[in-house]
Amino acid sequence: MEKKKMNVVNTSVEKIDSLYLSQGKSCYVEDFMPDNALHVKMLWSPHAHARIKSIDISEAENMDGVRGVLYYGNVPRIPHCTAGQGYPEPSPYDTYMFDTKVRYVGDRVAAVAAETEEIAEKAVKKIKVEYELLEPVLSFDDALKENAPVIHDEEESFVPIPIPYEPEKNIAARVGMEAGDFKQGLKDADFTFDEMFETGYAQHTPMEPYVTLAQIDNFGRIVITTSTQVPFHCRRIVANTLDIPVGRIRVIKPRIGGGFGCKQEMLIEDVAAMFSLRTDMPVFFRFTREEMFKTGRTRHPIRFRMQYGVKKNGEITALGMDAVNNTGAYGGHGLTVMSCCGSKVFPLYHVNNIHFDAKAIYTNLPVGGAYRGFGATQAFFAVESMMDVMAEAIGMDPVEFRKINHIRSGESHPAFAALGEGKDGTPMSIGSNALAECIEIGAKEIGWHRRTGHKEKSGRYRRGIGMCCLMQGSSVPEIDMGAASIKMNEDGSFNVHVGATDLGTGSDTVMAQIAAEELETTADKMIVYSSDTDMTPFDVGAYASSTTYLSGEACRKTAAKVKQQILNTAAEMLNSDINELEAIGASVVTKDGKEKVTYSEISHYSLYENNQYQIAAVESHITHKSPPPFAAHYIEIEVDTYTGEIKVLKYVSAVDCGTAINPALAEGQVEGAVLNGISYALTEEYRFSEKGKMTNPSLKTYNIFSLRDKPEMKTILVPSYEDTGPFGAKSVSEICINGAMPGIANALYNATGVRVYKAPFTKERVWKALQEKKCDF
Amino acid sequence: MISCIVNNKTVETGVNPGISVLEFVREELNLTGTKEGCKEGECGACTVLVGELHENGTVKYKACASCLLPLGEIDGRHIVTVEGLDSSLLRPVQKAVFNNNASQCGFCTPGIVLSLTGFLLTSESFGFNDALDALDGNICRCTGYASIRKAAEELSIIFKDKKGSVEKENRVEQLIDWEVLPEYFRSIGGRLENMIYSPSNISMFNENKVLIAGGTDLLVQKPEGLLAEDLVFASKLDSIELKQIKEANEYLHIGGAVTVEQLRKSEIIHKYFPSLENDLLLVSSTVMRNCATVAGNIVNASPIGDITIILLALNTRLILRKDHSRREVMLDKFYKGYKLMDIGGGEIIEKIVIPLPDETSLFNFEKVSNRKYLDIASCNSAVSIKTDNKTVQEITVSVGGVAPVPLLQNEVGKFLKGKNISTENLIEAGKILTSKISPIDDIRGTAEYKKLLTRQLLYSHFVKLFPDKIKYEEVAG
Repeated sequence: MEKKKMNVVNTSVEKIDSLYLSQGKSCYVEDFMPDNALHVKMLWSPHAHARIKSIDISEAENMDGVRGVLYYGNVPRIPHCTAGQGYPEPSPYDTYMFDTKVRYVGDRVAAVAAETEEIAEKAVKKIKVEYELLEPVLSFDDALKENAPVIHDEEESFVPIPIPYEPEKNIAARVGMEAGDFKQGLKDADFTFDEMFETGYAQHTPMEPYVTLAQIDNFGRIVITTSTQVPFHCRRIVANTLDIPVGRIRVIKPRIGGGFGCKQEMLIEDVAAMFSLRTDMPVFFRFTREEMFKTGRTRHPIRFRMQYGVKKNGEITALGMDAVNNTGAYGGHGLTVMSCCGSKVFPLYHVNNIHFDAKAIYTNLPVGGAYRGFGATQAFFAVESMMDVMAEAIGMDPVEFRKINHIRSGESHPAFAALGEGKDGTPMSIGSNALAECIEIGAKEIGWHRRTGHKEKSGRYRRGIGMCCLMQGSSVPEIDMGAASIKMNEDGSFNVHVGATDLGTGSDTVMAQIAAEELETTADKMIVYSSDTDMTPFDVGAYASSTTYLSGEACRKTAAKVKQQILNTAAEMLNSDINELEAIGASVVTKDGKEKVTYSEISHYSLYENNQYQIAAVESHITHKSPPPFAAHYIEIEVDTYTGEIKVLKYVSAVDCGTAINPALAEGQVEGAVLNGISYALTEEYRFSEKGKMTNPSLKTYNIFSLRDKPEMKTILVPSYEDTGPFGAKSVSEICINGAMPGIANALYNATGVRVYKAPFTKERVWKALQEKKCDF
Repeated sequence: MISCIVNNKTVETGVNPGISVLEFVREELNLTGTKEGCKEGECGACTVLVGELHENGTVKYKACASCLLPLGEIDGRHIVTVEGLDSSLLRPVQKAVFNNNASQCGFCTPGIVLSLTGFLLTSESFGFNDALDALDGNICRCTGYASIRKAAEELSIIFKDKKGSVEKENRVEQLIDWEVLPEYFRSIGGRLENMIYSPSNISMFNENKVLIAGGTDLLVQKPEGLLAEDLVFASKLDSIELKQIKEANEYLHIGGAVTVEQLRKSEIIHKYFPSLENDLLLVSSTVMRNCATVAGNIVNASPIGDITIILLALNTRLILRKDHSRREVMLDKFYKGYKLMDIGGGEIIEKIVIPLPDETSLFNFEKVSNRKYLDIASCNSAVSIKTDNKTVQEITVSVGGVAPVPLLQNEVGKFLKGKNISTENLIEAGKILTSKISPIDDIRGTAEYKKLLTRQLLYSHFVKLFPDKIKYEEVAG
């Protein structure tokens, strides 16, 4: 795409919704709850693994105020996948609205809809269930051992496309690649390494929990107003699960109180829809915070075996990753998260000999889902820790080691072609790439030159500086599609309807800016509506760092089509050749500057005066590549060697996201991701009882960072121009969550000489690591 | 019947006083700007302002987490939700949020707007630090807080500047002039004064009733149970003393309805225990401290409660009252076992009494938790020492998180009493301490780690209080 001088893009126009958000206007699902709505409460499995021998709902059903009870005996049993992704999904259809088996503490047993929440809660307690307890599978090792209990022993579950699926071995998915000659690569190395890394569960904890409202409209259709990142996928999955046509469902996404990936899943809408269908009443279903933790989606715990070979000169000769991902009781995002452990990570550095084997395994633990970073977060902990390990072994500065190895513009990588989502990937070469500048700028900002080795440090409090480089993708090429429709109004304003799902990121504002830039007008002329399956064109939804790059380009293309119509009409009005006209400042002018018609005049003409028609267009977009944003993160920490406490003193993110459509919003994405990453690296942890029950399902005991915990953060957007993106843009939303874990681990090593292989780095874990390595106190 | 003013509207309701204000404003009044994020007081999305009439006719406001604020607490008071800021005019707080892109998904934003309005209502100086304190209970998962801090800083700068020129004595009046608050706030004092409000007589309380002193723990622990009970609210009892902090006869008297934030901000506390202002910042958040009471913290009987641990080290005694009879209990004798206390039905903690320190007294509090702020401790400890700066003359050490009840470490005290303040003696005291405690493995850490922490906290007290005598490297090496 030709570079143009930008007027609206690359400026921090105000986020279009921020005024009404600060005034607390009604805009979220719960704010629209009708007074007569029924409330849903679920009976969740208290057992990690059990068969339901019998269930008696009669007492609950007969209670005053109870309007319905759903359980496996009175709903269709249709295998499906709750994860919203391209269709057919590269995932097992292993989930049922209700089943005769429960597979984790927090699995569905039965649901009650009642006139009040209190009645629903009471009724749930009246459901009598007799369980046959089965041996639970509660760890990586449990799941993979010979003769492990089989979690998905039902016959009906299947994979809709041919991907590896071996439920009898508790393997939900498998993915891998081989490039070059890995074994030879190890032989060619001066140093070889073989290390294990492990990450744990985490929850997205959006401030607004999962919440949905299903109602029946006058045509008998189900209208689901829901807090989702994927309205169109939600519509399809609910239709499938209820066995009704897609056309009978309308999904409306109002404002969303955060998602971070957990709302890329259809977890509650089917039950609300089923109740509304059966009762002809509005039905409201909202998770408590406890339910968010126990039964909502999580970040997959992953165990990595990393093998590397490196030459003294810094050339990486071999990269081996054997990864096992605990997908929990259901496999919705098992394969894709594993695939991204490779595809969003390996291309960062040159290496020809690669071995990658990844399994997603079933356990009787909470279910992994999409979470900002999506596999890359876990894999970067292993990979970027190893980069420091290798640099030290060959006696090279970690920054220098990365500089000589990182991928450049114009280069390709075998992982792009090898790793897709349930099929081969898409070969691509790197376009825009400002990683070299990011590394330099970040090093300067943190003061890398003053970094000394751990042997020179002593005392209780020790400071260390660590760094890491990162990449992600922008959309899933050849799979994801976004579309927009734009129509012009007679005052020169435009309705911009996008399926792209603003979940709080500000993407509505970004779409307004992109459309305004293309249309040569201002962002405040854009009336953006997202998203509603009846009103807006299709979009896969907000995930895979796709909204700006993919949906943004759809929006730009639509705007370009509309602009063409505007020019055509202006040509008719001015009796001029269209080639003699250009659009500037919400007007069309002749190139000699003598004549001009404003957008308002053009629209008036088109709607009321002559050859009337609606200036409007719809356009779709798919991408052929997934250009990575790049980043270099530098972190300075202070470790209290007596308690194991790590304090982050300063966090520098230098990020290349191409053109930042809205720099302030892009910085907001970086800062939010960074703090979430720090909190994930240091304090966020799922604890389980021996029987697989999560024991800290509360914000009191699952610690996400507060304002007071926030360290000094410095965000530097380093511009580049991605030719394939709208006005040079790539993604920015996910990448920066990946840095804290490896960066802090590297800083901890720099401070103390102790490396941590298991996350999160809680005080006690760090203290123990310090003890075991017998660090000098 | 509960009478109050919600925003600009006088409300009378017969709704159960045990429900939360959050539920009341959202469901009964349809004011949906107040959000439910956790129902545990941990996220601040439900923050509202609560205004109370003072003797001089002014109304004093504080920000509270409405999810744990029982409706009964707002009888006779003014509640301000985000709608009450009146959106016909863009308020400076909202403008700061807007200008700095301090809202992404926006779910936490109304709470942040009210916490920042609370900051403007309560901060003496409009200092940036006060603004950050005001926001310490508002969790945002989207922004990483960078933009929220910028908004807070912008407000601090603007209002410091305004204050420089002129400031009225009445902050509410001043903020109306500055358009922070809508005009109707002028009438609130008078309207509250005219409201029929009947305080409960202290003698009405008996064993058949449940006393709510803040309620921040009770509403998390048994929200349904409270609805069936006959509730009496400590803040509504007709004893002025209950709400006061006083100095008398060498003792500090803290009333049973005094809130934690009231204690933290008390001038008497600043005079005698200056470090407590910061220590108490580690106790939950502003929106909780504004509601939670000191006495409530004591009867919650958590083995790890920060306030209990602080009070234990200060040789605190409790005055318990039933009807007109009173008795005294030393705090360390008050706890009989896990959540078991020496308090009978119908008895209330009327006063918490602390001996005032003299010039030879030193005090220190230490805490380790998973997350530094807003968290429950893994271990905590407090110490008060009388010393000539050479020897320990008197010492009281308390530790939490290592037994079913908050504990005094008398053995450690006995050992150190009369001894020189030295590395050797401290190491020995550390050994005694670890041999006397028996923590358990739980979600806040393993027993082994807690033992270590407890010892480190003991060392930390001495390093902090006697920096020239005790060095960390020497004791903990």
